[in-house]
Amino acid sequence: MPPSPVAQCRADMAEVAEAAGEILQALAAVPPLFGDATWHGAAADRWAADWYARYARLVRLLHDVLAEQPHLIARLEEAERRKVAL
Amino acid sequence: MDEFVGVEPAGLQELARRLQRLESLLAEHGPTIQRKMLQWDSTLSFAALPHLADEALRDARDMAARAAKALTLADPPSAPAPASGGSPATSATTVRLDWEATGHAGEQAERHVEALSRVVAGENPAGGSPVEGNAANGHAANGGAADGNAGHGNAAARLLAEDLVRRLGDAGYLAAFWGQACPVALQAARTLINRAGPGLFGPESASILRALGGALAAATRMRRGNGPDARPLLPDAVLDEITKHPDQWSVAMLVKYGPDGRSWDCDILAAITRAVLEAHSTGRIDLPDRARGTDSDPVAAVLRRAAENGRAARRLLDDPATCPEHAALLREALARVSAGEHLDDAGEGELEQRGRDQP
Repeated sequence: MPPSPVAQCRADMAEVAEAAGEILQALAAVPPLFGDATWHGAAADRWAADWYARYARLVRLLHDVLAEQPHLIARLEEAERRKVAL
Repeated sequence: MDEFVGVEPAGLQELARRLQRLESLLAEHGPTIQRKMLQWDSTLSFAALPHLADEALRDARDMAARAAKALTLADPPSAPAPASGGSPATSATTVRLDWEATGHAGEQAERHVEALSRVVAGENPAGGSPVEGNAANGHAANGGAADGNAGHGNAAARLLAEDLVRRLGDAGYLAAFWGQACPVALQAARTLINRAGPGLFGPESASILRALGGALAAATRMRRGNGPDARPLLPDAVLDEITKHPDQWSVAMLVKYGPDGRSWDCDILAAITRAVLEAHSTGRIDLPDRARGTDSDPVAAVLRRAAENGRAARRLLDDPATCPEHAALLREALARVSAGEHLDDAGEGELEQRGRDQP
C-alpha cells in the first residue's frame, strides 16, 4: 500500500531539510577564511562583501524553505482530516 | 583592474575547496529542494537557485584559479597550511596576486550575454523547463507582469542587472562583455519596449537598461595598459558598432538610463551624442510608437548627458559639423549646468520638447 500523502510529504520534507542543512553548513564554512588569515587587500575585501550579499539570498531562501515546511504538512493533514470527516 | 592582494596560498586553497563543496552541494541538492517543495505546493520562488548555482560554480573556479596561481608564485610552491595560531607561517608564505586575473572574465561575460539575449527576448534565462512549468502552473512567486513577463522572467532580469552592476569595476569582464553584447544590448530598448505593458518600460526592463548604460559608461572610461601606452578599453570596432548602429533611439536609451554624464568618457560620449544627433537630423531615428509622447526623446537624452559631462558638449560645439539647431540646444544646456542648475531639476522638459521639435 502506497504511503499517504501526509507521510510522503513528511518524508520529502525531511529530505529537503537535510539537503538545506548541508548547504547551510557549507555556506557557514566559507566566511571564517575571509580576511587577514587568507588575504590583505581591498579587492579581496570587496569580493568578500559581494559574496555575503549574493549568498544572503540563498540563506534567506533556505530558511524560508525550512519555515514553510510545517505549513505544507499541516495543510495536507487538514485536507486529510476533512476527507475523513466527509 | 590589476589590483594586487597579499594572499596566503594554502588559505586560499582551502577557501577554494570550501567554495567547491558549496557548489557541489548546491548543484546536487538545489534542483531536489526546488522540485520537492513545489510538488507540495510551496509558495516560494526558486527562480534564483539556478543563478546562484552558476555563481557558486564561478566562485569556486575563480578561487581555484587564484589558489593555483598563488601556489605557483609561492616559494616553496606547496606552502604548508597555517598552524592554528599561525601568523608567522602566514606572513612567511604571503604572495602578491592580481585578484582579478582569474581567467574567467570572458566566460562570465559570455554567459551574461546569453542571459541578456534571453531576458530581452522574454525567455526564462534559467532555461529550465521546471521553472517555466511552475510559472505556468501558478507557482510563480512574483506573479507579476510589470514588463509583460512572468515573475521568473522578472527575477531573472533583476539578477542579471545586479550581476552587471557588480562588475562595473572589472575591466577584463567589461571588455569581454562589450566585445560580444553589442548586437543584443544596442537594440535592447526597442526589443523591451515592444514587449512592454501599457507603460514605457517596466521596472525590470528599466533596471536592465540602467545596468547596460552603467556598464557602457564604465567601459568608456577604462584603459588598457598604463602610461603613454594606455589606450581605450573599448576597441574601435565596438565604438563603430555603437555609433553606426541603425537603431540610434535604442543607443540613446542606454545613455538616458545610464549614469550621469560625468561618468562617461568625454570623447566617447561626444561621439555617441554626435551619432544620435546626426541620425536625428537626417531622419534616421525611428521612434517606437509606444515611445511617442513619453519621456524618451533620444536627442534630449544624449544632450542631457553631454551637458552634464561638459567636456563632451564642448567637443561637440567645437565641431563645425554640429548643426546650428543642436549647437543652440547644447549651448543652452551647458549654460544651465554652468549656472548650477541640474537638468533633472528644471528645464529638462523644455529641452526635451525642443529636441522633439527639431526637424
